[in-house]
Amino acid sequence: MQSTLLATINAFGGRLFRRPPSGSARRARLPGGLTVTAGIILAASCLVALAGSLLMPYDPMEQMLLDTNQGISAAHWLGTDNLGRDVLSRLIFGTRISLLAGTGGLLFALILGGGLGLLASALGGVFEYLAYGFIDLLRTMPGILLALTLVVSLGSGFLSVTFALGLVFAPVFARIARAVYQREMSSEYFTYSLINGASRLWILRRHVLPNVLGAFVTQAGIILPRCIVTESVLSFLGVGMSPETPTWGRMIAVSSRYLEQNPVSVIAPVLALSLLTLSIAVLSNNLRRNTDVLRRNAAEA
Amino acid sequence: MNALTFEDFTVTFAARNGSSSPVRGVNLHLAKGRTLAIVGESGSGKTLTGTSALGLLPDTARTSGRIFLDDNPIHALSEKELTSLRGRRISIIMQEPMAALNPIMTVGRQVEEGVRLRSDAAELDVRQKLADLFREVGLNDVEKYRSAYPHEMSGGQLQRVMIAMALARDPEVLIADEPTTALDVTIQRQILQLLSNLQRSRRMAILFVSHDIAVVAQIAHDVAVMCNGEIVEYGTVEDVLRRPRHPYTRRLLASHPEGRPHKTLLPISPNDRSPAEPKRPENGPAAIPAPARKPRQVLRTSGLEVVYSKGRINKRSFVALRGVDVTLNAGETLGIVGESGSGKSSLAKAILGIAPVTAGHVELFGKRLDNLPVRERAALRRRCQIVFQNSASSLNPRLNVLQLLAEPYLLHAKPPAGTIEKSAGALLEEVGLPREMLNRYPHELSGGQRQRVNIARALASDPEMVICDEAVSALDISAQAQVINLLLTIQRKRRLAMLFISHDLQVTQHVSDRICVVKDGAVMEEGPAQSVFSPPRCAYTRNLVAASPSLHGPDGPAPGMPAATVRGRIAERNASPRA
Amino acid sequence: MQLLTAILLSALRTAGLVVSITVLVFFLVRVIPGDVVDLLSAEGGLDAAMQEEMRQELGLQQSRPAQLGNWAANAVHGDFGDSLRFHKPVGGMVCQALPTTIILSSLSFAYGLFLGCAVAVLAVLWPKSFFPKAVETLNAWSVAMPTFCAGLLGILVVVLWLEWMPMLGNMFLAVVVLGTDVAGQIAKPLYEDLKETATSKFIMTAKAKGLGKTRVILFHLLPNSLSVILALSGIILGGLVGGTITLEVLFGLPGIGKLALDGVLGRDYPLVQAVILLLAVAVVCINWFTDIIAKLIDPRLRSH
Repeated sequence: MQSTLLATINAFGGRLFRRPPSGSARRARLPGGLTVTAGIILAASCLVALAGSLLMPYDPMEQMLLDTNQGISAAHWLGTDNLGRDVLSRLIFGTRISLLAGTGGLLFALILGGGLGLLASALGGVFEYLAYGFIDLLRTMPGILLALTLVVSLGSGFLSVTFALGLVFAPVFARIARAVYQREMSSEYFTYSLINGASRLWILRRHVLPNVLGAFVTQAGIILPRCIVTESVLSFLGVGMSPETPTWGRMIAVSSRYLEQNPVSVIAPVLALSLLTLSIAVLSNNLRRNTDVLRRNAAEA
Repeated sequence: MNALTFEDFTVTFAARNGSSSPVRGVNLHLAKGRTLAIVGESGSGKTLTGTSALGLLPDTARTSGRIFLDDNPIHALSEKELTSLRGRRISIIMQEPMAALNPIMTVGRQVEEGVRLRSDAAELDVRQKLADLFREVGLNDVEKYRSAYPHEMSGGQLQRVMIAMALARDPEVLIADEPTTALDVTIQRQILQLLSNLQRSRRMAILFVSHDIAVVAQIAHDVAVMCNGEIVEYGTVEDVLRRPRHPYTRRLLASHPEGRPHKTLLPISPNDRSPAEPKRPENGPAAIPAPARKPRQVLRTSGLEVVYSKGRINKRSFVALRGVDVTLNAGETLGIVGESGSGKSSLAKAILGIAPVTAGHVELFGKRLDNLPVRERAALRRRCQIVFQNSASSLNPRLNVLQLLAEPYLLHAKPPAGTIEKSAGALLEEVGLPREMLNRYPHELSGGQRQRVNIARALASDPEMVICDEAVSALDISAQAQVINLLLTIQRKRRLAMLFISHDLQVTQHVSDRICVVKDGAVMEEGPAQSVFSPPRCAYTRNLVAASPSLHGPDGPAPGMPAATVRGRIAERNASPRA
Repeated sequence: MQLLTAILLSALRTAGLVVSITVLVFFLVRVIPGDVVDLLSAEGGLDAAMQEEMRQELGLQQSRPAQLGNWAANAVHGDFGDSLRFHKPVGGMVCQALPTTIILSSLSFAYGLFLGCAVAVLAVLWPKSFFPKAVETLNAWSVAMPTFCAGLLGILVVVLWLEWMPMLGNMFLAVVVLGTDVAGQIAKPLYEDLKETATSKFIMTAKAKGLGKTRVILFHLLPNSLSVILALSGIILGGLVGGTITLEVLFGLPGIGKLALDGVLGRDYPLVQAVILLLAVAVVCINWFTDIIAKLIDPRLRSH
């Protein structure tokens, strides 16, 4: 089963690269046009999220009931929604929510899943059994449904969404932690430290951690888009942030009822969501390829 | 008429930062019914040369020059035309047969696939042909093996399956790419025997690729020595092994411990080929002094038994050691020789406390470990270090040499911050590496250099005893010679006790004072290194000695022959080098 | 005998997992501030006495462990209680919704599996064709186009602009959207694994035997990548079990997902519990099933 797991980790793109980027001149692939575009989109998104209120032409909550469901115009670049709220302003506000909730969820998943997984593997015994029992429990619950129930139970809002995303994606990191720990455990430098009286936690810090971080980073690049998408799914289903917060998912949900009259207010957030997730995926894929190149160079050396 | 011809053959890989050519200008002729061996160290391009004869190079490879199989121009054929030649006119057997066979298909079906491609497959009884092939390669229990999966068979059996598969369509040429490398010596001998019998009965031409010049001496008619992609010497076995002309060939031969005077430094530089006086390691007495008083005993095991049990519910146990008694004195080397699964590594693990000892006990520096408090036990074990076989996996790839060498200090001594770098640098110099290597990462070092770092790390805690668990087995022959020399020198200098575990009889005999032969977890035979093999007392050792390949060919002297004779032979060999 | 204990132990662990999930969900849904009575009174203006009476009737005034005990006792007999909102037996509601979800997810999975595998294999067979690009495109699509977005775009183009088909109850469009997503999740990892397996030695052996390219791919390469397809299938199916929810909402399909959403939003405890229990059992069964198939495919797993 272990081999299948590693295969799956590898298959999902979380290739467990091992070599550190070396100082010598092993040149990695130069970024192509696609990567540059993705980088620009991501940078722009972050900028927009940071400088949000400066860039918004209108208050995203302000209802202009005389101008509902307007198409593209000079006054409203992306039109207005069913309550006459400016779509562009709401889109800008939503960028911040998406990025914050996505990264928040990712970090929580990483700390909870990765941390628990590593500690449990190192400590072993009952603690390992219980920790992985908990992880299995999370894994057996259908992801969206688990998040739904959690958010409804804890009440809508940024924190509960982040918490729910973290719980949904924690098992991914826990399983990687376990797989890497077991691989490291079979290495001879692990045995060496053990023979020389090192404790498991000492070995964890010195030998396992540097090797697992790479795998975590690559996996994070895959999980971040999924966190962002899951957040918008929750909002779309009406259980994400508090109802008045303009999130992309909520915008899509509300405007989808007026799809025929005003397609722009649906297409705009859909496009924003796609572009952001795609650019993150392209960048992380590129990162992984480059580290793979480094690894291959290292293997040939 | 040549069965296989290489004419000025070159393989090039284009890379972003310039191209590399691992095979350059190779000219070879393999006559029908003969065996031509390509011998070289890792990275010499020998395997690429072998596989290019089937047109099986990676897609990224560009070739120039010509290869003819009989009169078929392999270099110019399309993939379709190559497919029609493969298996029918030329086939291949490879290193690691476990990886070379499809893991989820029975071996019977895999061989059958080849049989069904025969031109006469329609009128042939495929089952019968399969059985014939299995018997021809010595798999006599046809019904049992036909339905077995690769993981259910041993390495030797798998290699026989590979051979059966290669013979399925009666090819004229067989490429044998390191076919015996991962196998035990006794199995190796059987496979070599099988190959030469098959060659004689089928009049096949064999291109035999190997890193082991002694194996080549057993089987080849002609030898091509390859180094850095070029053939540096090419001739009959007699000529190349007896009268080597190229310095590289001389170095290869000199690095081989066979017949070298016991515990002397192996000549490494090409000019250093026939030292009138064999060099003794410096910094120590010329030979081990006859013990005036009884030397201090550093290790004693009595009745040591190790049993591994697997599975919490379904207990299956495997007895790795059954009552082993060994002793080791200060400054002495005890060689442990055995084949895979003999329990030799379990002995090392039991001494270091990482194997489940179920009976008996280990005594380190005169104290029984089993009734000592944990702290004292750890303190004793600290004086006993280990060097593993796999130089790469014993060094964490993410730490540099300084960080790696710092580990024993961090764990044991906890010295003030600045001193670690100084001590680590001194250790590196002791193992013959420049201080500048402290900030290198393991993947930037060669296998030999990595093994030196491993030795340095073992020395860091100032041990009195070092266990070398196949420490030189994975190295190329020249690197192996260098590491052996290093071990001998360090041992003299530090009066280290050494437990030298290896499958290689000649290497072990060269470095050890006493040797234990182990089999199935028990000591079969023990004695002084220079006499234990001449003649061996027990049948198993005799077998082992007979199977060890010798530079002198299949009828050459066994490792146990008296040193004087060997020296004479070598002198004879070196006396008439052709200019 | 040993095999039997092993099977029994894994069954016990599985059962433990399902029970823990049930208990967890039971308390989780009750953490929600306010119960169904509050929700109903907010809508309909019940006075305090009526609220109290209603709580009595629904058994909500009991302590939580007691409620759990009651529920579990009934559940063992196949009675999952009545929906608090719809006043119908939950079992019946679930049975009604089940076929829609099963059809939706199995059709999308079958379509996605076929498309994903086909594109990946063709990409390996003809590396210079457009298939490798298709693998990347499918993968990008499934990463960047969540199914509810794709569904909306589908509705916009196919239903509203081209007017080819109606929107409500449109199973076809839902299957295409969901299946394409599945295909993207399978194609890329499978393609990468196939490419990696193609460099293994036993593939070289197969070629050296004189087997043709197609035969090597179909008989040696693909069977060795089946374990990856299987592992992916397990994960994707597990995700599909809950993942049909957005499409059911979007296309107005009366499936399990829609039911779960209604249950969660309406504090309909028995409904939520029954649905989650069902889905958890489904996930556990899928995992079990993939394990068994993995053993059938790979003899190395069988012997241990």
